[in-house]
Amino acid sequence: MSTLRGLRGLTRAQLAALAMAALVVVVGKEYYRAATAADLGWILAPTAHAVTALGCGHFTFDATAGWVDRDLGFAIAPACAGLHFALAAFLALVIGGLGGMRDARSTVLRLAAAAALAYVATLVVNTTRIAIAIHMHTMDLANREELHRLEGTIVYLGGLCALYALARSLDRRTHALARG
Amino acid sequence: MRWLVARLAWLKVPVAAYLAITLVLPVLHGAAQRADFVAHALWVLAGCGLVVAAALLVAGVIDVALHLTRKDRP
Repeated sequence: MSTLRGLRGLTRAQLAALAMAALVVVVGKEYYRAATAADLGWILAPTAHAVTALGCGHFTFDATAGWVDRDLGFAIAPACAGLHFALAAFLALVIGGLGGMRDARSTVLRLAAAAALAYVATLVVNTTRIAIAIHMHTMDLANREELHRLEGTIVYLGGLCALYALARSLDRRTHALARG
Repeated sequence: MRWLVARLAWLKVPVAAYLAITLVLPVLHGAAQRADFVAHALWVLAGCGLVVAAALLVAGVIDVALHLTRKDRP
């Protein structure tokens, strides 16, 4: 994985990949702004099922609030979908993977891999974040709102750094294997 | 200082991507005028500081462990 060292030395394929990543981020943010719980079913539903499978409640779909556990008094709302994490992960993986984008084919493959990795990582990291948030919700804490925000940032950014480190490590191994 | 820069270099991409999505784009969209945005930004920056500090701590522990287990150590 390479990092960005200025736009001048980039090839056309790399510039196209950066433009695509920027477009995905901007369009993704706009989509997220207006999306309902039903619109976000592709990311909210697997997250709610995973949280339920971990034994952290029993979430059922509510068209207005998202995925709700009424006994717990906890909702996995559209704002909890983790789409910002997914966009940040996609952006970081594309920037980090620029070194391997030599032509159109490798660029398309890497963009697809970045999107798939970002999606899977979002499910894992967001499930972890929500499971921790549910435990915090059941505890008698002062400043619960602030702690929830801080927990979100730590889990999301920690997960993003871990994902990036994993991708770098996989990339190095792939290069080493390719060189023989 | 050089050690610090070397250990933090790889973090710049994920941290920059995270801050771009959570702070820069909302500011460009006019979120800075919202009263609750400053509090949100402060929590995001505090979380970033904690994650970077944790990454440095892990890097430091690994470096010390590698130094202590080096074969050519006197």
